[in-house]
Parts: sequence; structure tokens; C-alpha cells
Amino acid sequence: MSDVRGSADYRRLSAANLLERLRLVVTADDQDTTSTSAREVMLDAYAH
Amino acid sequence: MIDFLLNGQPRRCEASPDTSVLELLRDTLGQTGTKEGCASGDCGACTVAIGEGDAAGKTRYHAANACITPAHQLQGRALVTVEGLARGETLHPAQAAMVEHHGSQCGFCTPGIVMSLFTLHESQRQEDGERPAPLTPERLEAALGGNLCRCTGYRPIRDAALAMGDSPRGASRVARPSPDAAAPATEATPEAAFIQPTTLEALIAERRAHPEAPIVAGGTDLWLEVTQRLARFPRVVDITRVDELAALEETTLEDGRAGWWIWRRGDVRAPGAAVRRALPGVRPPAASSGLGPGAQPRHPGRQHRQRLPHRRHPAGAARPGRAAMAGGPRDGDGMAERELPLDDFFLDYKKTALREGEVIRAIFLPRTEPERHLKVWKLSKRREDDISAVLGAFAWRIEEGVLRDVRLAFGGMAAIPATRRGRRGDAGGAVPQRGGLCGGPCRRWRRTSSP
Amino acid sequence: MRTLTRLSTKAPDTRHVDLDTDAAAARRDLEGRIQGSGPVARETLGQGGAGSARAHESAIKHVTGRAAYIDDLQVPADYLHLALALSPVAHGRLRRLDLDRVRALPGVVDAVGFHDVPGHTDIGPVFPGDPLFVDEEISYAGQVLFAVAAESHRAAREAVKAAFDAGVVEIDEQPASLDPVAAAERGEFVRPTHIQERGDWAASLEDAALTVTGEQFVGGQEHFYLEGQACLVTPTEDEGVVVHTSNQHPSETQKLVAEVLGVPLHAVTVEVRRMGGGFGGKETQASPWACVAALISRRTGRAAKLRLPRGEDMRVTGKRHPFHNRYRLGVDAQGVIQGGEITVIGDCGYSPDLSDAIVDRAMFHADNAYSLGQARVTGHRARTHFASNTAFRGFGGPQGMMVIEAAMDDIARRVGEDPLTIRKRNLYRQGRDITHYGQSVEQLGLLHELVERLEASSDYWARRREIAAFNAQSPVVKRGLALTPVKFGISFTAQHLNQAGALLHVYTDGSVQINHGGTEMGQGLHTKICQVVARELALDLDAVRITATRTDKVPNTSPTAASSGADLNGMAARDACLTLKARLFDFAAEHYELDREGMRLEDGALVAGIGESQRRIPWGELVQTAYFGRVSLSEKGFYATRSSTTTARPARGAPSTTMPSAPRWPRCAWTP
Repeated sequence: MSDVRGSADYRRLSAANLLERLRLVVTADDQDTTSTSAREVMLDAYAH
Repeated sequence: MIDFLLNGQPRRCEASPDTSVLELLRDTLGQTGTKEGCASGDCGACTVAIGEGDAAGKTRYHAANACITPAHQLQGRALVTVEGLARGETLHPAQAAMVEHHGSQCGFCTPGIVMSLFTLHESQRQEDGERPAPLTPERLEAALGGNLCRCTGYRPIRDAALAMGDSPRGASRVARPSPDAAAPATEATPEAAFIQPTTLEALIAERRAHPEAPIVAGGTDLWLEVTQRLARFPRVVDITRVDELAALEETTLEDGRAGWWIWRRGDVRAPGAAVRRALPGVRPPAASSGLGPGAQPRHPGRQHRQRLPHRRHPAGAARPGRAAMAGGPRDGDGMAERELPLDDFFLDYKKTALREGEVIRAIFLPRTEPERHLKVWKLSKRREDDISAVLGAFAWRIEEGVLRDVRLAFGGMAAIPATRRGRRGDAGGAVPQRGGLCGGPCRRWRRTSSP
Repeated sequence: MRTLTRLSTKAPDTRHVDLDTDAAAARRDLEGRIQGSGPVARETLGQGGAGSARAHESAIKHVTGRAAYIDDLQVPADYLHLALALSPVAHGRLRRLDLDRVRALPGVVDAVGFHDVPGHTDIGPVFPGDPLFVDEEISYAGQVLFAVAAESHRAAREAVKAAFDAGVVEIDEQPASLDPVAAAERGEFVRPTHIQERGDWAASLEDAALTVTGEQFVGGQEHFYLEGQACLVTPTEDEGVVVHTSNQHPSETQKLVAEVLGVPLHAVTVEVRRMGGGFGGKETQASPWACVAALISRRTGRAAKLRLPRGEDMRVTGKRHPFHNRYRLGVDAQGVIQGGEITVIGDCGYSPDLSDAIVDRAMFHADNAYSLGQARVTGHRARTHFASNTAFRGFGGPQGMMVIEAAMDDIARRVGEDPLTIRKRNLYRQGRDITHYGQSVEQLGLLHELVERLEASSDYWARRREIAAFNAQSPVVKRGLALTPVKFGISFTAQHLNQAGALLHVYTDGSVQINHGGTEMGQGLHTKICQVVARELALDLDAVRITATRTDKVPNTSPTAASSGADLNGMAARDACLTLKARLFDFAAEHYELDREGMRLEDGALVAGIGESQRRIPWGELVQTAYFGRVSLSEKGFYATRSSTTTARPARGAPSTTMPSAPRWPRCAWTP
């Protein structure tokens, strides 16, 4: 209820999730990793 | 003293250097059509259009948040507010479309939305001469991304924006006299002054004489000190009219790296395009990706804000590259210039390598090598918020199934952006496999990071 | 075209229901209402723009900047600006507050705190518990300690800052209670717990094939009305004040201002032209600022404006109630709920405010559109050290629905079927049509019909397949889909609030002015009321002008809330029109010697008789003639809902609760 998204825990968890996401992307066979696609950006926007 | 045009009428107003356009309008001039929603440049209810003459003698408008725009930046400009659009009973196409498509409900955000639509409409007109250019969803989103509406859910506003383009051209005429091209006001008293240097040399002279005076471009950071913390600034330095800071240049550095020098201003869209070319993985704020802030705060501040390193940058924008600074300790007669890798620029929270009297002259963005992979992900409270909770940027190369040159960067995890370069025995050289990517360095990192 | 999932073939537990007949009847009923054969006579359908989309009555003023909000109003030259001093701590004791030192600060005209209030110091809207200023106990960060009046907005804010810097406030900070679940476990409530119970829920859990349990936390939400809280108060020549406020409940503000000043209600007039958004945040929480400004205004004899800067607005006012919900449900092998228990804990903040009714509504909607079978629903009202959470679009309903919708998804995962299939199996149906609070759900066919129509028109199953294919390919980014019905109870659960008044004036040029008890916050209520009047009087919409909501025009009004503003006030306006119309008809029959039978208003004229003997008297002429005939051209209207409320049987050992009036429409919403 307080500023959850500003908390250290939230940020640490988010950063860990991003690294996990990176791992999934790197290990996936057919992912386009040359750029962050517009679709990914849009989906990201709602994934907060 | 500020001389400007308000809805076509010449005005001359007196205001302290830390007065905002919104205060000038509502308190001094009694023009209450422009609303205060947040006084932080976030909601867009106070959006106004500011016009300036271009080389061809045409007036070009940009949308601005009146609550964080210094009133003195109006000097020699044409200010258009929601009260100035209609001609008698004839509404401007932006207004007519909003009425027809039920774009207003409570109406409080409406003046701001109308002004964003007006600016969009004007820019379309100018680009395409007689017939308005078709509106793409991206342009629409970029134009309206800085306006919050709590009632409508935006669909009727989008409908209005799309219909606005169909309006007969003749109806869109507003009072549009050319703004006075007179030089910026320079008169200053010892007690209060809004300084608008037009050359880098003058800017640096001002920095040396008054290092305590804050620099302002878009006001997205500095003006919050005024509206939220009630700070007073008797002397303010405006860098928006320094010509040398308004350019974009493709270049190759001495070390052979190709890239772009980004200056503060220039064409609204160009820096974004350059950033996109330089870093295909990055959707810069100026691009209409929905990742960055709306059009109003973007225009004056743009890529490179003098105050940006203090607060915004640790959590924010693209990092790799170099900063060029000018001004430093006097080196003969000239202005000392130096460059730093961006990694060395941030020292601590709100502390940078800038020396007294120095200003950031430009930022270099290197071009990404084609074989390199890049991902940039951001988590923030609001998609348009330029302050992210966490931003992760990851670059790597794969050579025969092995990760090379891994570079991980995080914003929001510490007082300043944190990066780790892949070294042998670090993440670099790891074979991409499940669970194996970055065990060691990430654990170490976790211990050392303190968000 | 794909095939729909048919309920009749897949839902095994249903007794035979003739859904088609039921749906057809419901559809006839619905379309009858839309097209004009329903309970409201539609003989004049189409006139005055009723039933058609019209621009908002203020649309042109909105887009030209002429629509005035509180901070835009013309003010006397010597008006005062107010600023509030807010508690920096969530819990503590105010040890010392030296207001004399505040009054001595440069630029300060006056300063007021708890001990300067002549009348009531508690302004709790329903139950006590909301002090206008902190006396000793500080209950949340942002609670008002004192208020300062100065010559400018900035000067007032600077004075508050200076007062804190000068150390006029001394506080003993104490540990704050910020966790509603822990508070509930300790029994710290702002109001007693309510329980709704039907049947032997414990047995149904024991007998069930499967048990699903879960808990969820539903976050709060800031109203973010674009126009922040604001009011402008001017003193009258008597002992009272006139209050201009951005406010969903002018009558309550009138009462509270009068009580705080210690004057009768007739000394206080409250006016609301429009709000820059309310969303529930100005139902009870707009009053305190009017009370503070009224206090200053009476003390100084000057007008006083209090406009909260956004940051302070967010700190000082309550939000949507966060909820902590738990469920334990027994389901059969097909995923149909047999019974169980649900507990909802509303985080009410530090005081009751409207929390009693909000948690009740969360309980009333914990079934959403599904039968819970034999179930018990418990609702706790936890007290925490936050701003007092308050009304917000849905009023607890969404937070209650969340729990059963989460359960639906859980059941779907357990049973291994699509969530929509599970939802459809659980919809209220014949034989399973009694809610856990004992109300019979009507128009079941309509509910099923709407869900199926949406299922088809949204291409649910094609989208589902597409999403499944996407998700199989996408290791990180996943997509989802849900089709969710919403049953929502319209009207106030507090029965006495279901009333409304209106005031209709016709002037001698034929122009019409209407006033009513509802407030305009962007929802278009005023536009609708104008349409009602225009239709009843067969006039162009332009002939009808609405004026600001004022407590001296229509008194003792209910808040504009509960999705009831247009229904209640529209009927009151219509009532006034009908009475006036009847009076004009009586006069016309006598004056023009016309047949009273069959007399009607049509296209801006009174029409009597048929065929050759038909007479048309233009509205303007009729009105003027009636004036000279000494007939009153003014009328008040009133409306109260028919009583549809019963009191629930008190559950064993549990406090009784009041039923909401019937949710007459199962409203359905599709959420992509």
C-alpha cells in the first residue's frame, strides 16, 4: 500500500526477474534478440 | 519584463524568474481556462501551445506544460491558450471534434487535451500544406501521451483526434501573427534575473559568474522544486536559446567508434530517430513508443537536460557513450572542453563529474555493432513515466555458441547507474544454458547493490 | 462460425431450465424498455433529444475554457488563501501546538486548530470518528493539524512550512498499525464484523468432491479527480456562509459546516456547479475543507479559498479500500460451487467514514453472478493508520467480486477446463438463484443470454486458441483472456437515501430552468436531466437550462452516488414536469374551452382534439396566457423508490445486515 514499486525489495525482485527473462530469451532458440520489438515494448507497458 | 503574444495580442508582463507560465496566466492575467491538475508536468491539464518563428518565417507550435514552463521563456514567443482558439462562435476543429465526439466529460483535462490536439493539427497543416496528413496511431499517441483523462477512457478523445483531420481547412484558422523575433530579454537586476544566453560562450561566462544559479531547459525537474517544495530561485539560466547546443551530428570518434553526438534541441523528432539508429534496441523517449513521457515535457528538455544527471538519469535513459563538457577551469582564453566515458560521469546520487562552471555540451551515443544483441527493459509505475523503478539493459554477442562481451546495466538499483562488463570468468564466456547465465556475477552484484 | 459451449450439455448439475423461454422473455422486457413500451411512457420519444446522444450540456464551455471550476470563480478582492498543516507521522500524540506563534508569522492573517472550532469538532459523515483537526491523537500521516490563512496561495503554503521549521508542532511518534490483516487478527475494527450466511456451509465443504482455497490482496487506488479538492466560502450578512465546493454531497457539507460553526442549517448554502471529477472521492471527503474555510471565513469576515495541491490532496484524503480476501469453497467434479466460506477484510483506514456500507457491498458482491450454494461470507472492517478510505466507483463491489473471480480461475485450473466454461456453469440459474444473503436473483435468462452473446461477438474461442498458440511460442511475455460477468446492485443500501427532489421554473418567455439534487461530475447527469425535461415538455433541448446544484433550491438531497443519480433525480424532474403539465392542461381546458381528454404537448405546442377540431397552442403563448391567468409556472418534484428492501434473517450469533435493494439488472461487462 505504501510505495511498493519504489521499495528495495520490489526493485531487487524486478531486477532478478529481468535477469531471468534475459536467461529465457538467450536460451530460447528462435527469439529475435537484435532489438526490443515494438510489440515487446507495448506488452511490457502493461506488464507493470 | 516579458514581451510575448497571448492569443495574438501583444502582452508585456513583469514576473519573478521562478514564475511559471501557468501562474502568469491564471494569477496575473486572470486567464483561468488553463487548469492546474498536478503542478508537476505529469497530467497535461495545463497544456498550452508555444509558437516560435522558424527560418521560413512560419510559426511552429509545440505543446508545453504551463505549470513547469518558466514564464520568461515566453519572451518573443506566441502563446496560445484554450481561450484563443475559437473565433467568435466558430470553434477550432480540435474543439469542434471534441464536442461532437463526446471527448469531454468532467471537462477539467479538456483544455489541455484541446491544446495538444491543436498543436497536432497545426503540425499536420504545416507539413502537408493544403491537406492534413493522415494521422497514424503512433503520432496520435505521441501527441496525447502527456494528457491524463480520468473520465473518458480516451476512446472518444481518440475519435475526436481522428475526426479533426477531416475538418475543412478553412475552419482551422486561428489568430496567428508571427511572434516578435526580438532578441531575448537580457536586462537583469542584481536581485532577480532570468538569463537567456544565446551562445555557449555567454552561457559559460554566466556559469562562472553565478555558479549558484540553476540551469533550466524544460523545467521537468527544476520547476518541481518551485511547485512542490516552494523553493525560490532569484536567478535562473535558460539554455534553450544557446545555438551551439541545438544540433545533431553523425561522427566517428578517434577510437574508430561511429555514432552520434546528441545536442539538446534540434528537430523534435530527429534525436529520437538518431537514438533509434544508434541503439536499435532502445526505444528512446522521443520515439512514439509509449515508453517515454508525453510531448509536453519532451519538447524543451529532450535528450539532454542539464539537470538530468542529478535525479532522472540514475533510473533512466540509455547509458553507453560519452559526455562532453565545456567550461571547466579556464584554459587560456578559450573554454576548456573535455570528454568522459559516461561510466565515469556519475559519481554518486546527484553527484556528477561536472566541475563548477562546466556544462554538458553533448552526449555521444555509439552505434551498435550489427552482430551484437541488445535488450532494454523497463519497469515503471506508469508507462509514460520517465522515472523507472528498474531499467535493465543487456548487450551480448554470441560466438560459436558462447556468450561474449556481455554487458549488463541496471538503473534504479543504486544511486547511479550500475554496469558490469563481462570479463573472463565473469558472465562473459558462459555457454547459454538454463540456469547458467549469470550465477556468480549476479550474486556478487546482489550483495553490492543497494536500491 | 464456431460452436458455442452450450450450458445445457456441459453443466451437469442443472435441473432442467428452459433458458430459451426465460431469455426470450428477458429480451422482450429489455427491448421494450429501450424502445419505449416500458414503465416510462414514451409517447414523446425522440423529442428533446431524450433517448439519443447529445453533447454534454457544458461541452462547448469545456473546450473553450469557459467552464468554471472552483479555482476559476470570480472572488472578492480581499479573499484569503488557506493552506493545511499535515501530520508528518502516521500515529502519535500531538504534544504541543503553538498557534499564536503561527499567527505571528509574516503574511499570516489567521490560523485555526482544534480548539478554535465553535461547534462540532467531529465531522464523521455516518459514524463519529473524523476530527476536523487533530486534538491529541494523530491517526494517519497527512491528518490535518491546523490551517493557515494568508493573502496568497503561496504565502499560505510558505507559512505552513515556516511554522514547521519554527517548531510550533511537537509530536510523540508511536508505532503505526499498517497491516489490515494483523489489525483484524487483533480485533481492531472501525465497525463490528458482519456475517451473511445461508444453509449449512460447513457440511457442504465436507461433502464436496474438491476444495479450493486461496487468498488475495486487492490494492487501493487514488481517485485522481483532475480537479483537486477545492472550495470557496463567503460569509453572509447573517451568521452563516455560502459555500462553493467541488462536491458530490452538498447537503451533507451544508449540515457539517453548520454543525462546525454551531449555526442552523438554514444559515448555510452550498452550491456545486460542476466537479472536475469525483469518482467517490468527493462524497464525504470534500466536506472537511468547506468546514475549515467556513471557520476562517466567519472568523475574519472575508471570503476564503482552500484548494489542495495535488500532493497534499493525495496524502490527506482516503482512497479505494484495499482488501484482503480469503476463500474456502467446496466444488463438485464439474467445478460447480456447492458451498463454503469467504472472508473479506477491508482496510478502512483510521475511521469508519463510509466503510460499513463499503464492506457490506463487498460482501453483497462476493458472489458476483455465481451461486455460492450454502455459504457464509464474513466482512471485517480493519482499523489502520491510513487516511480513512472512502467511496470509489463500485463502492466495495469490485473488491468483493475479485475474490470469487479468483476462485473461478482456481477452480478452472483444478478441474482442467477453460475458465469461461467454469464461470458459465456457476452462473445463477433456476434452482440456484438465492444469494448468500437470501435475495432471489431475477431475470436469470438475461444473464445467460448476455454472456453467450458476448462469447460469440468477442470470438472468445478463436482468441483463446490464438493466445494459447502465442504463449507456447513466447517464453517470457504471456497473454491472457477473460470474459467476466458483473452483477451490480444499483441504489443505496441505506434505504432513506433513495429519494430525490427537483425544482422546475417556467419563465414568461417559455424558457425553462431545471434544478435538482444531483451533482455533475462529468457523468452527464445534467445533460440527461435536461433531456428528461425537454421530452416531458416537448421542447427543444436548448429551451431547457440547468443551474448549479444548490441546497437552497432543492434541500435535503442524497449524495450523487450509487449509480442512482440519473434514475432518482430524473424521476423527480419528471414528477415536476407532470404536475406542471397537468396544471397547464387544466388551465388550457378552461381558458380555451378545449377538451381536457387527450390533451398533450407536442413539438413545442399544446395540442388538443383531433382531426378538424384539433387546436395547437404554441408553448410560449400557453405560458404567457397561463401567467396572466394567475397560474403558477413553478413546480417542485419528488421521487422515492418503491420499498424493495427486507431485513435479512440474523445469522446464528451474528449481527444482522441490511439487504441492498434489488440489483434489478444483472449488468454484464466484458473484460478483455
